[in-house]
Amino acid sequence: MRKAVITIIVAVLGLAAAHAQDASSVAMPFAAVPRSVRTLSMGGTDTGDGAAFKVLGEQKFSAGASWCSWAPGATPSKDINLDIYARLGSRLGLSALLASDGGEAYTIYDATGKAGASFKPKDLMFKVGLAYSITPIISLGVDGRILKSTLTAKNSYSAFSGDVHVAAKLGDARVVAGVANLGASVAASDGTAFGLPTSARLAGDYGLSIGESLSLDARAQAEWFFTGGLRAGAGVELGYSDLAFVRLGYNYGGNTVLPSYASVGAGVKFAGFAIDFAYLLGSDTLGGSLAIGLGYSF
Amino acid sequence: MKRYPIIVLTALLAVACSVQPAEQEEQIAEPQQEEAAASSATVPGEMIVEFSDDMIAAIEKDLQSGAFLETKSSALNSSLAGLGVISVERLYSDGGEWEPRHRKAGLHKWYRIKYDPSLSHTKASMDLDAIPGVVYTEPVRRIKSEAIFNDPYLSKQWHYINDGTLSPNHKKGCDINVENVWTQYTAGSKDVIVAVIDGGVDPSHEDLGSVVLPGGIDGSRNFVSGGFEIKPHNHGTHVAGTIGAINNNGKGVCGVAGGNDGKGGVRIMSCQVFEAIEGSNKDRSGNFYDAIVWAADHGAVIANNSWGHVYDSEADALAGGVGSTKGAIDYFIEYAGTDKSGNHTQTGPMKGGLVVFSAGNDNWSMGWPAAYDAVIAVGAAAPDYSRAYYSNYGDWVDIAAPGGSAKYSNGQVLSTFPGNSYGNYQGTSMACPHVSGVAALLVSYYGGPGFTVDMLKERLLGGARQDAMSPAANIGPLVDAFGSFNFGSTVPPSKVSSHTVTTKSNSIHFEWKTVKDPDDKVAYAYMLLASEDRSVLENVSLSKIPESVLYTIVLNGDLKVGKDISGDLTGLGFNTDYYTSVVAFDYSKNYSALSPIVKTTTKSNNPPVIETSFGGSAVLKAHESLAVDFAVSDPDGHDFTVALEPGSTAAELQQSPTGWRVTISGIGADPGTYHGTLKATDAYGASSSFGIEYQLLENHAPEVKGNIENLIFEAPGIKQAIQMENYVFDPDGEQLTYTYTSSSAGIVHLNQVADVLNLTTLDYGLAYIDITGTDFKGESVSVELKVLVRDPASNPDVYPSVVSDYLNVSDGAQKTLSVSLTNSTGAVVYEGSFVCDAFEPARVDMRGFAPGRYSLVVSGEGKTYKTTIVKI
Repeated sequence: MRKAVITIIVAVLGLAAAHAQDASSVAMPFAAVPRSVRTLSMGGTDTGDGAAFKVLGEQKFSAGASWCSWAPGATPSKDINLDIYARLGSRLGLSALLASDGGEAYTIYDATGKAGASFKPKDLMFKVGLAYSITPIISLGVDGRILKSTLTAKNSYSAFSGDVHVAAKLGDARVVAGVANLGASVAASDGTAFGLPTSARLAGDYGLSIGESLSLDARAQAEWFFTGGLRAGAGVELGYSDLAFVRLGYNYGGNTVLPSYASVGAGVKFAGFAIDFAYLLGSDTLGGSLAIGLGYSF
Repeated sequence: MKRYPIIVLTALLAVACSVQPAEQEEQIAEPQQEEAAASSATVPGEMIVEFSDDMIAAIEKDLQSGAFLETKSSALNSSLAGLGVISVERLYSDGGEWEPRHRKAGLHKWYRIKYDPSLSHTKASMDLDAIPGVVYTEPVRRIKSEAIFNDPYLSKQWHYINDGTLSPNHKKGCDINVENVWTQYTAGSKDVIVAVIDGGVDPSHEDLGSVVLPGGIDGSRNFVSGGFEIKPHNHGTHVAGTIGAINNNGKGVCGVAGGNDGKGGVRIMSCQVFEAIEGSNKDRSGNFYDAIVWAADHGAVIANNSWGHVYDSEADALAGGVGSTKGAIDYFIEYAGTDKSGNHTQTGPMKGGLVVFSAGNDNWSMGWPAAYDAVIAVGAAAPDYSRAYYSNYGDWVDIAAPGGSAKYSNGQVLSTFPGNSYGNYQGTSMACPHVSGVAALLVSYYGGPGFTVDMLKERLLGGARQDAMSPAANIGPLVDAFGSFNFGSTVPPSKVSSHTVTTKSNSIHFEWKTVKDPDDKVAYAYMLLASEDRSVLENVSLSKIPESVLYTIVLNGDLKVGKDISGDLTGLGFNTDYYTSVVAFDYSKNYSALSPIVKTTTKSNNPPVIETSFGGSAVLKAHESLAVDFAVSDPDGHDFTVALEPGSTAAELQQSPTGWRVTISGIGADPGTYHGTLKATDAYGASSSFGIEYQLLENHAPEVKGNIENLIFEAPGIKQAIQMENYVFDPDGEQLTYTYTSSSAGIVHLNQVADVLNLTTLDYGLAYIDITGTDFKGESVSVELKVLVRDPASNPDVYPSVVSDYLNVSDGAQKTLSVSLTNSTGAVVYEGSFVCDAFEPARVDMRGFAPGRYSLVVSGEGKTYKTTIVKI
């Protein structure tokens, strides 16, 4: 199994290196941004946060809130994320996520260069998910996502997208594959249609214990965007007595909507409550991004 | 038959007269100085000129040196020499001690220039107008005396002197022909008293006061309320004004017999038989019988009765009669002007009295008491020799007089109203006092021992114009004051002892002296005669002049005996021998003998003369036009016509104040060369021509002028004037019409004054101004002018920040800039570098960018600028 996961990771990274994507033509790119602080610090391997993944695990409930200063040196935004997951019975899991990205205010200059009022753009995403454990080792998850981007007082755009994932549990490893952000295109003011960041995903997770106190969780994820381009991420988490954690990761984005970056993170957990921290580096645009999250689970 | 007492005459008066107080409803203009006809109104060879200050200084220096025509004011001197100047003298004499004030008023700048009288005024005026320093020129107009009297409203009293000008319906001569009586005989004597049996005459009126006999035992009397207090009444005052309003007093109107010295003529005895009832528009009547008898007993020899009996129908009137009024009328006729004892001894200016009655205003064939044979019945004439629409008529009407008609503009009779006012009335009531007035003039002149009422009636009626009124009028002959004074004349005027003649083309100019008429003072008129056959002329019958004798009539007017008089006989043959003579005659057509016959020969015909300063050819661009003035005159004084063969639709002929003007429009026809001809032809076919050649050039559309330098300003509040001709011009040199449009009124404020565009920067930004120049033909061209208002210390310009297609990036000057765009997830989606300047920004094509927010980084020359934009 371990060999299989490593093989997948290597294959995904290789495939990603062979593709490039024109990110300027992707509408609602914020739909592709990882929202969990933990997975952000592990190279953006967020597929593991999906309900289809969770429903194969032991967790019955989780809820969290996070704040993120995203891309402070490039396109700064202040993001707030709220998420919740609950298992209903032994096979059904439900999840919901609300994300709000507040962009930096800009001054409106007209076509002659004359300055006018300022406006603060905002992106909003609301996602609900449903996962079902078909067997103890196989599950199916679907998500529905509402996206809205408000760019001026008169110009806002909305879209709907959906995800479908299949997950399988193979001993200590889990594998998930699916399609994300499958939805209709967005029309610009001149009528030109632009596609959502729809992608096909393949991800794997492997956890093991090292002695009585340490644990290691390794993840890898590859994502091929329908508009072209491949990104891949990998990360590891080292835990101590399920109380403290440190994390490392790297995302290779090329010219996709999520550029390359390295990530570090840490977290503490006690009595079901967890505090996580992530910091991105190694990127001209995303370097310096910072995320803090608070969660509860059992 | 139903018969009404005289008491009810009030109603008749109310119906007969329409009241229009002059000062309230009808504006009465001041008399205008008479304008003579153009050919005879001006003095040949004389012109009045106003000079400029500069020119007058040079002229005065010349005059002081005694060498006016040779020195300083050379431009003037050369023109004056061309005109054959005889003299130059100040129009206003030196004012002596008042001269400084005269000069301050500019009187010293006016001169009278006398020149060769054979030159036309138009030629002289054109030559003088062309001299720099000549401000104004005008021919010297002949001065004619004002109207015979200085009363301001006389010009409105067509009923005395009708020159046919007060309305299109007024016909010249339809008046009482009194002017010559005023000048040659009399304007009324205070020895004659006319009784006005009517409403009270206002004795305090400025134009009547002194001629109205005061109320009293020997004067005016009120027969309504009794006593001697006269209560002014509109109707009576109006009637009295026609008879005796004071002439030549500089006020109001004239009266027929109002004197000529401003103190009045005949006197008015107001026998008041109507009196207004206070608070109503009705009158109450008094004792007519007593009034007429009172007038006879107290010195009146003429009784004016502008009233009549009232009947319900014309049939009733036809069956009516003079009735009880007969006694009073007969009494007046028999005893007026005689002694108290009844012995018919004459004591007044006339033995017996004349009773004058208005015919009535019912448009009926009968009216009483006017139809009584013993009285003079007066019908009303309109200003055109027709019977006034209201006037009664019939053979019983003895005489017509102007009664006016409200159906004509200025067609009523103007006279006095109480309270120093004046107004118009119409009616036989107004016609009646005209006859009374003429009768009063006759008594004034002929009255005295032995003069009887029958003699007066004979002159009055016999002198009236028998054929003046329209055939259908049926109100008798038109009263004719001058005719009555000349009535019965049998002695012709003296023979014109000699006359001289000069010829001009086919005209003969006669000059002679006025002659005496033994019984009429001075000849009424003269007949100028010419014939090719001496014997025919010697034996001519003046009452039936044969066709072979040509003649014209010249009125004597107000000239005294022995004065120079002249006239022209025109329309004769050219180069023909004529025998000429002059015959004087009086108003009764008594002709004198022929003056000694003088032979003369007419001259040949000369064509009209065309004069102009135009050289004969011109070249015009499309936007140009040319006005060429021509002075056309006929040396023989013949009528002539002027016509233009234009050559194209570009040339037109118009009459101008100084002659004729040919206007050529450069746009009036297609480009090319054309030939026109101005032709003047006299009444006998002789003509002269002037050729006009003109070339019309092709129009060229406006063009943009070279490279356009756009404008950069560093701050709001800066002003600059833009000469639009620096951007768009016309290759033909035409002054274009400029317009503009601006893309952004918030960045620059523009105010156009002619071809200057005043610009004021208001805010930072880029404005586009389109300047359009349009030529005379409507062809135009536009150019775009960019105006950038930009702080040099500011960040690079990135606009618009809400991008739909292209993003513009510049930095106020030419430089290389690097541009990068990062999307909201941090992906760098664009990188590039550009060379841009202030008016040519780098353009990033964002049409392929998905909607969203982007971070833009512009860097160059050590500066980096980062901002957010959105693509929509």
